[in-house]
Amino acid sequence: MSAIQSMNMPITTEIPTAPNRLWILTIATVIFTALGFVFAMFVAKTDVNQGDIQRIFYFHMPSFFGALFGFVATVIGGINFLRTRQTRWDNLALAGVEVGLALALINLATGSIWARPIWNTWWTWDARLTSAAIMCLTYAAYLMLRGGIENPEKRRMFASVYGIVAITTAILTLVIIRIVPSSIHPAVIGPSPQNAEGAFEFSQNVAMALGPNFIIWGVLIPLTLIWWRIRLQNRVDVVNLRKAEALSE
Amino acid sequence: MKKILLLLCLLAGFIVPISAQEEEPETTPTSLPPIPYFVAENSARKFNVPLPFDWENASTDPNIAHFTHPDGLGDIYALSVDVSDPLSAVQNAIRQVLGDDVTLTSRYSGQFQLDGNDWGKFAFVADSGAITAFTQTRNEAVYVVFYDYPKTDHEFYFMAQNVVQTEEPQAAVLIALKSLYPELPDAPQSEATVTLSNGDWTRQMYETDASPVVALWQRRGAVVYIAVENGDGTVVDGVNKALFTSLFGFFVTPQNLDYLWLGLAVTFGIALIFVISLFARHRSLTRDEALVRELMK
Repeated sequence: MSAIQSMNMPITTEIPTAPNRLWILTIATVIFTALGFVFAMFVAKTDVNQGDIQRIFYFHMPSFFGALFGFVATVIGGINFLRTRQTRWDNLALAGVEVGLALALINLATGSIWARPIWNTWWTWDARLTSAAIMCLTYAAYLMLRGGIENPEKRRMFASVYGIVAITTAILTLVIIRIVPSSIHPAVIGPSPQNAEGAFEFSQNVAMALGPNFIIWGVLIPLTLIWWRIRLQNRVDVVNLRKAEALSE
Repeated sequence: MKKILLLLCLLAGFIVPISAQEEEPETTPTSLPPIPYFVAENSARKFNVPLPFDWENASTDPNIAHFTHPDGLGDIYALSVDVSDPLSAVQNAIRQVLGDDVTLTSRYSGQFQLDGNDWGKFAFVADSGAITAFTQTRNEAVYVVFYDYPKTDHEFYFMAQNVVQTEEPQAAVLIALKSLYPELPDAPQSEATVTLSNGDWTRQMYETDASPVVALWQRRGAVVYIAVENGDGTVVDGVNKALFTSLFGFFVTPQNLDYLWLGLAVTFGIALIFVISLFARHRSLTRDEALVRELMK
């Protein structure tokens, strides 16, 4: 109770209801996700070299940027929490990690599924794949370590610092194919490394399917999920406060 | 207003890493113009054939490639056949295109490996001329590409033969040529190097009791590519090397739709699990809340 009060948390026991803007955003996200699926499956043509599996790219690459969106939110939340000690920033950081990790797992799993028919293996210890796996493990560790700290103030402090430092794994994953020329992972923007396998031509219909899905999976979905996750965390805080009040009485 | 600023900050977070990716190293503008391809429309039996330079696309069926040379150098066809045996598939394909009444006499058949794929190779003498065919078997269908050389007074074929890395390509060339002309001597009567735009080729002439045999060949990796003519070599000398590109650049689009479904299931499955977890935690909180209310009472 004292720990919660010491953090400038708004002392309210009102359960917040979702605003109309969030519902509009959610409905728009669902509609656009369906549209993005249609673009990926029916507008984009089948890649003659890779076959239908190439379509997974329209979810694989945008989901990485969606994960990055979440992890950047964690950095913003972490920095602002350290500056202001307001729990809402910590809630943003936590939501960013959860959503980012879910999207990073989608990115990792779809990459592995793509690799099976194209590289003839589910997994290889390539620089990009390894750094992506490290990124996922780093953020999974964030959640586990956070859950292991009892004191809320220490937990939030630790999580803020960890969340800020952990973004390096995401940035490293993004740029590693430029740093390690032996990578076989193809680049999407700009020329691929000389050993890249499975690159494809960035044609107009690829761009038509990738553009919408980039916005959907890279911005809309993480934004919507983060917003809902923050609201859930706000509710957790309110319920915890009520529990504390009930126990103190 | 603060939320909008927050959103802008999040979006700005993309700029740094994206701009890092856009730093392109200098590239030399030496890439060749793209080769036009015939791509079969049948999504389940999609194959791709490069159109040789100077040839015309005369295809009328969206699933049968037909290229023809304006000077009558021949025709190239490519199609898929639902027959598991490559020899039967080639015969079916030729009859499907040239007519059921065409008489085919097999000259040789065999297999070779190219880019990790098993290819079939066949040669026939037909009523219309000499036919060279290559096949790839994928997903219970045989994909056939064949070249129909129209002159009937002498033969002209394309061949491919695997060569062991340590072996001299000449041995592989001789094995291939002797499968067509067993009476061929072990050594050529004359040999010369011909420089084409894709490297040096070897031109050899073998004397036989009948007409001479002229071969033009080049080794690339583990395969030696051969154009062979039983004549004075005028056809071989005039052969458009792009024909090799067409016959051996023929490739089948892999069928991996199952992996796509798996990927989509994982993508939407993980997203759904996350949403369900939000709902589950929300319900759990509602129960906790009710419990707290009970306690408060």
